[in-house]
Parts: sequence; C-alpha cells; structure tokens
Amino acid sequence: MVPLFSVEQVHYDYFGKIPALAGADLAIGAGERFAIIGANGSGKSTLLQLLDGLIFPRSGTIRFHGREVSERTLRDAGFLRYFRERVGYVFQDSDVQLFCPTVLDELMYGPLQLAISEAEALDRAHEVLQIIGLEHHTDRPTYMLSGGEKKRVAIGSILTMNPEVLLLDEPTNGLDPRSAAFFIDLLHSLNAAGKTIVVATHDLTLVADLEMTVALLSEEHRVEKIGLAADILADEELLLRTNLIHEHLHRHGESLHRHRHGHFLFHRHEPETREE
Amino acid sequence: MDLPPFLNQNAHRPPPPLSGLAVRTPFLERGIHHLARITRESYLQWESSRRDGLLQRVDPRVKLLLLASFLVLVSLKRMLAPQLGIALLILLLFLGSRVDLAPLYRRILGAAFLFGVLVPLPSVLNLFTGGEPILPLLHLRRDYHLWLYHIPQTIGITREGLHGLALLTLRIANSVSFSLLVLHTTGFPELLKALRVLRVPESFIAVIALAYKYVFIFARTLEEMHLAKKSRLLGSLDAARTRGWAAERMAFFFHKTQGRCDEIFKAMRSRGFEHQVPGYTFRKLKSADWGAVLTAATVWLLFFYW
Repeated sequence: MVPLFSVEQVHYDYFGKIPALAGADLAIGAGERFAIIGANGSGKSTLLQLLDGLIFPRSGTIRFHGREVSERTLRDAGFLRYFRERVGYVFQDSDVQLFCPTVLDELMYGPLQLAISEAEALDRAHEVLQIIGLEHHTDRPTYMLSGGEKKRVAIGSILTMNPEVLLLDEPTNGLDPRSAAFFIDLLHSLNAAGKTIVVATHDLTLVADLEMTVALLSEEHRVEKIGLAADILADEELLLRTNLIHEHLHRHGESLHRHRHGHFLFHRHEPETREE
Repeated sequence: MDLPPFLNQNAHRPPPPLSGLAVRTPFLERGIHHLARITRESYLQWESSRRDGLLQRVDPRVKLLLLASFLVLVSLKRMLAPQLGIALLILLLFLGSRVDLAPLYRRILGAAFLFGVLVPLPSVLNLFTGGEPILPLLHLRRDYHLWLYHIPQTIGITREGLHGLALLTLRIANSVSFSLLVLHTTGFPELLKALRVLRVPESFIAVIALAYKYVFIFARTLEEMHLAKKSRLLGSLDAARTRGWAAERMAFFFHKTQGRCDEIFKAMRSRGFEHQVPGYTFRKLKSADWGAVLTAATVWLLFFYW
C-alpha cells in the first residue's frame, strides 16, 4: 500500500550552509498518529514544512499519495489545490498564521477558498467555534485573544477546511495544562474520525498520551530511530543521547540528588546516583 | 469530544494527473519572498567576516577610515586607467580576504549597470553633451534649437560621452566594491561601534543597532507569515487580494511593533537604562593596524598622483 507521505533521503540546509536535515527517511501511513521528536534545532519544524511543500529539499524526494511534492508539481494548479485541501498546517506561532480581521473571517477563509457556499462555510465555522469553545468571540480581532485562544483559532481555521492530514508544529508549546489537555482530546477525536495527525514536538507527554508512532531526530539531523512511543520513551539511553531527557541536580528537602529527568513519564530517583 | 459531521467525511482519492495549468504568482508575493532573503544575505556576510583573511584582521575603525578615504579617491580620479587600477586593487583585496567573489561581483556589476550604464545612457549622445561623434545614429536635414537645447544635424555617440559613461560606471563599481569589501570583512556590530571614530553620537548608533536587529525579526516574521499564507492557498491569488492581504499584515505589524517597542524599552529600563547610552572605550590599535594604515596611505598617494 502506498504510504500517505514518504520521505526518501531528504537533505535540507539553511542558507546553503547550516544543515537542518541530513538524509531523512520515513513513511507515514493514512490515519496514523505520527510524531517527529528531537531536541531544539534537530530539524523537526523543517521536516514538517518540507512535508507541507512550504520549502523544498536540496536533495531527496517527498511524496504525498505517491506523487512528488516539489516546486514543479506545486506550480500545477490541479495538484496544488488537491494537496492544499488535504493537508492542513498549524504553525507554532499563531500570530503569523492568523491573517484575517476577525475570528469568524479566519475560520471562513479556507472553506471560501475551497469554493464552498457561504452558507455552508458559515455553518462549518460555527460548528468549529463550538468545538474550540470560542463561540462568543466570533467578531473579535485575533490580536485581542490570549495565546491559548489564538492557538484554538489557528487549528479551527484549518479544521473548517476538513483536511485529510493535520501537520502541527509544537501544538502544546506555551499552553496551560487545561488548554494542552483540550488539544490532546481534540487530536484523539480527529484521529478517530480518520484524520492523519503529524506532530513535531519535544513534548513527550503529548507523544505518550496519543500513543504515536515516533520518528526521533538526532542532533546530527538524522532520523535516529522510528518506533512506537512506548518503546522509544522507554529507551532512556536513547533519549539521553538525543537530548530529550537530562541529568541534573534536584533539591528535595535537605538532600541534593542527581538523576535523570524528563518532565513527562518518569521522575524517579536511583539509589546509586544519590548524593547527600 | 463530539465532532461536527463534516469532519467525519474523508474523501481519500489519489492525486489527479498534472493539468499543466501553472499557478500565477503575483509580483507582490515574489517581493515578499525576496525580502525574506535579508536573513540569508546577513548570514553570508557575517560568515565571511569571520574568516581568517587579510582585511578581517584589521581593526574596524581603520577599515572605516580607509573606506571613507578611498571613496574620496574614487570620486577624485577622472581618468579610466587609475579607476581600472583601483578595481584591480579591490579584486586583490577580495581575494586576500577570502570573500566569495561570484555573489559579490553579481551585485557590484548589477549596481554598476543600473546606475552607471542604464540611467546615464542618453548622455553618450551629442544631444545632451557636446563632443566628437564617433558613431552617427541619425542624420537630420538641419540642426534645431529648442529653448535651451540644441539638436545637432547628426545625432550620434560621442567619444566624450563614452568616456564619461565608462568613468561613471567604474566609479560606481569601485564605490560599491569598497563598501562591500568592508561590509563582508567586518561584523555589523563592530562596524557600528567603529562609527564613533567618525563622531557619530552614541544614541544614534544605539538606534541603528536596534533598528538593524528589528529588520531581522521583521524579515523572519514576514517569511513565516508568507509561508502560513502559502499553506492555505489553493490556487492563484489575484493582485488586488494580495495587496489587501499585504495592507492588513502591515497594520498587524504596526500593532505588533508598538508592543515590541514597549517591551524593549521595559527590558532596557530593567537593566538600568536612564536615557543615557554608555560609551565603550576603544582598544589600542595593534601594530598590524598601523601597518594597514601605512600601506593604505602609500597606495592612496600612489593613485592620487597617477
């Protein structure tokens, strides 16, 4: 079966000098929950932007439903429309994504571009407003919203287009626990409705909660390992090597401990590393 | 969480065959894309200023004074041979400083062609300046006098016009080359600090430094906004809608810039800013810097008396 996305030997450099990806290979199946994880600067966001055809690799190939995603193919009107209506991208910085005057305009922008009737677009917008809990903010300018609300509008603006795939860059970054929990619930529901979810994150809680397939990027910009979240997150040495967990000192009462620490699944003390 | 029915509709279908109908990119869209290249240019400049080359070792103050003095020299010389000599000297300095020549000379020749050839091109004709025509282009029945202008019977390219055009082109090329030579062998922050040697006030330098930094934040945000729009664009966007988007984004930027200014000012206040910009003390010039001054002065005099 042809994977939804396939990435073959993709290399990407910033300014032609700074490597961001050095030979990435992976495949994402339809309906999958897929996470790209790695330390800061490992190339997660770059890979996500490459998948969305926003930037293009120096070498290597990216395919969507078997068709190459390149500058050439995305210049074709038919394929551009096919691709953009199926793949939605939620940016890490909601401010750059929200470019319409009000919340409602933002939600209707996508459907109106898809040539959906205004009445149906309005229905979709109101239904999505209810899901994201902003039904009383329809006429509010987006710059007047809080960070969490902006993020909700950003994902809402993609949902009204009903894409087949959602690419999300650090969706829970900077969100309070309730907003983060809302996002995790929403992503569960969308996946259950048949959407493919691809997330670039270093929030390991999100990866664990959604039980995702994980591609772990190393600090050398390579795909270090691909596997199930449970297996990857259980491999402490791998997480330590790729800078996703760390060892540092903690004070507990009067005693000082050095132990491995990742703010997600475990926070345990090991007797052999204890220091008084 | 209950999703609305439309989100449960998934139409999986393979991609359509390529239609061959290309998407048109409006001019403004391309402009935004090019503006975003500022970051790349700046990175390349920074990277070349960190190389171990001839001019990278020289103090920025010395380079700034050399730039000023050689710009004066370029504007003083009225013959082609010294200008060509200066162009050769700059090429040698570029090579000695291990700067990538191809992208720099593309910019230099582009500026020289635009401002040195295209703009003053009519001046090669004997319509505007007198001189000996060496290539007649048009022969009229008689000459004409129109107000202040004299149209000769034979209109053509003159020797003096060609000389003037070549001189102007070389002057522009040499001035741009010298400026780029200093920019690509000196980090911009060091260059700003060195401006004090020209008695530029500290507060003015601080404003330039802040503005320079904000240009990159601006370019980066602009690039991300461009990508965000691209990710939701399903086809060609007409020029009017692109202009509308640009206007709306400018308003957003203005709003965001105001907020950013407030935050920067608070950050400055929290670190003790009291409306006075402290000056740095200059480090002493090294013997290599004095050597550079002496060599440059000798070369300057040689060209001056050429």
